[in-house]
Amino acid sequence: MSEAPHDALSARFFDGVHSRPHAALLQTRERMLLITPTEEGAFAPLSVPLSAVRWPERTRHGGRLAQLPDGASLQALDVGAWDDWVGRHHRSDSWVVRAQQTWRSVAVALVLLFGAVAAMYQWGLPWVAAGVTATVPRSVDALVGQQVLASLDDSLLKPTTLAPDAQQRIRDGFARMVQRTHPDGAPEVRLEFRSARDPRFGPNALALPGGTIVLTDALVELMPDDDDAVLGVLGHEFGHVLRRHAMRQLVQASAVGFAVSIAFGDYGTLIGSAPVLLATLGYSRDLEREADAESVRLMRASGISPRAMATFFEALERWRADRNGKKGESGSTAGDDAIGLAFSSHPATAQRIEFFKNAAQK
Amino acid sequence: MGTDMQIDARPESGPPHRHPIEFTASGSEYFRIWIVNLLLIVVTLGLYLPWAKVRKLKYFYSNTWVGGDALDFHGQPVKMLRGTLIAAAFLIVYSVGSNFSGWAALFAALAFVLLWPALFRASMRFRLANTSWRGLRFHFAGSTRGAYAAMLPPLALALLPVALAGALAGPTDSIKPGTLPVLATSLVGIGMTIFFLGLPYFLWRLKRYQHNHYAIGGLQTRLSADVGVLYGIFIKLMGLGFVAVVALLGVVAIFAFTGYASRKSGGGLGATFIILSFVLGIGGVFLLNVLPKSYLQVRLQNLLWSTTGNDLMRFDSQLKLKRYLPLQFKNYLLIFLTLGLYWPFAVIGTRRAQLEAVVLETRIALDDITQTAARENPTAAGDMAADLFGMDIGL
Repeated sequence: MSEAPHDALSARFFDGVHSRPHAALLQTRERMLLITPTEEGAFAPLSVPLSAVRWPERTRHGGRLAQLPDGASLQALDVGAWDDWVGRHHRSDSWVVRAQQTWRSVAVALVLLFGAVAAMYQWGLPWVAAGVTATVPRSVDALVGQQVLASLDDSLLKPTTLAPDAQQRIRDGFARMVQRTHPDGAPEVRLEFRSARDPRFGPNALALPGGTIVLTDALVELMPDDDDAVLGVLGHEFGHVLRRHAMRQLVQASAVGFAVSIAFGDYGTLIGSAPVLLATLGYSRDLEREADAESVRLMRASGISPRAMATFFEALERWRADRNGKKGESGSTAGDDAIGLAFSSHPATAQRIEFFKNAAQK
Repeated sequence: MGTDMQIDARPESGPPHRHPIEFTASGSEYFRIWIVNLLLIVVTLGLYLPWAKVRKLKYFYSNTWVGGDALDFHGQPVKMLRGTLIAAAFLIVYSVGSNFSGWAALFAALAFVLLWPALFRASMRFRLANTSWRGLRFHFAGSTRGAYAAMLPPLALALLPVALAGALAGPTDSIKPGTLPVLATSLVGIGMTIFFLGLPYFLWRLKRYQHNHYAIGGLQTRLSADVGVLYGIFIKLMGLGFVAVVALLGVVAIFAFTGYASRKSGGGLGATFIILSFVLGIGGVFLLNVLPKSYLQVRLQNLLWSTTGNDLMRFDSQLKLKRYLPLQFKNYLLIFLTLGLYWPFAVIGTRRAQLEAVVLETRIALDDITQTAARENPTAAGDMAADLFGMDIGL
């Protein structure tokens, strides 16, 4: 046994071939790590460039194990002494490791994380979703749309009872409106008239992926003799089709679910559903505003006053109040329909009426 | 690889040495690592994922002590980044594809069934080849053929009938309900029946494939568990599930009655109603999710690890349900109440309970194991794929 040299660190050396540990002394000299056996002949002394060693990160708990290039390794006997020695001779901790050490920096990281997630949610995700949606061929939207319509027909909808000439009148009006706004061509839109199985479904319109718009009979009958309102609603749904909102929603929901499963791993399913739901609802308000703006463009191009939409919403509110009145239950407010599908996630009706009234004055 | 199976250590006579496994990680430290990792993942739009994963694994491994020495992980984040990108692309194609049409879903399911066993084996090989203890790398000796034999039948039974039925029942030009859905439904029904009846058997095949092929140095493990025991566990699990449902129905009935009674008496329903529905919700999660899941985890771990080993070293697992169950209940409750922030504490607590229940028994000195298999460098794609598809290969 030789005398321990000044400023050497005692550690255990493993050669990578045998499980037997050997006592070793570590020293540094000119960017080299010298490893010498404490016991004569236990292993051949070796020197390794300090930069070729994979040093462990500093943590409060746990062992320290440095990986040497040829499969050998070093393990700390005394973790405190090891950290101290490595810090003095080789390198300081990376900022990531330092951030992990104190609660204060972790609190900062937590705040930054919330900020980053909020920013992703606000700008990143819609941007990614729009990009991804752009790469998906429109024929795929059509396939999805067909499936959605088929399942709606199975569960919520039945064939229309509208007179064929009324249907034709609306189709023609809508086609003219689109033609005037987008003379260079617009995405193909298919109009489907349906009647709802459940009266609570009420006056409703849905834009499915791939350009299918479903219109309920109740919506057409809400304001008889006023096609302008129906055309305004169709303009709104056309806005959804034009921007492929349905597809974007699908992509966004998948992306959020994916992110949550990465953050929480095995507990992901428990925590996963709430963010997906929140993301979907939150975005849909923005998308509704986009669609309303498109509706105004279409109406203006055809010489219809956007006021028609304001009138429509007022009629819709009256219809809701009527229905709630008929139920005879007190205390229920306008928004709590069980199947308010298309309107439940919309911006407040008062806001939208205001929007269309303002548009009519410009 | 691994052809040279001689061991240069002689088995000792007398009782085996017992080496308890220790886990020294702390929830609060893992919380800090997790938050910083998450921040970096978000800021880099996910590219940091492999670095975060290596840091997490290194933390878990360096806190797992066997016979006085900690494990270590050797995977290189840069190399794993490529695996991450491949796995992510595959996942996106799979999940997006299966949303679109019946036939795309069928194709995605088929691709998944055909690729998964190979990916699974790759991930086992990668994880073990990059795990070391006392300077020796572990090794997974399972063959590709073995992986397909163990996994292809259950995967095909679980996924293909559903996908095929979806494709058949999907929207076609002629709307003629009745004929195709009947065929589709019966197809799914038959597939599912065989799958569920065979589930314990399939699980046994999979676990045998895994536990028969763990190796360190020249020591390879074998699983001696019998498939009958697994059927016993599943039958008890079903009994437990039945009792849980009956108990839950009973609680719901009492709840409905008290609700009815208090409404009749005209008392304030609001606060009581909210508290009761909260308690009922928690109780439901406990009875239908935490209880059966914990039971299965405890029984499976004890059965599989206590029957894994060879003449020179074997494991003994004594995880106790009466301690594991309250722990899991507490974990779920606190994760729920803290909106997910308790998650790292739950993971560490669970891992500690699972690892510290295991003891390594050896008939050789721990100093006498020698690396015999050639070092290999399997691809990282499998490991990331397994991670992204939600399979964590525990030790």
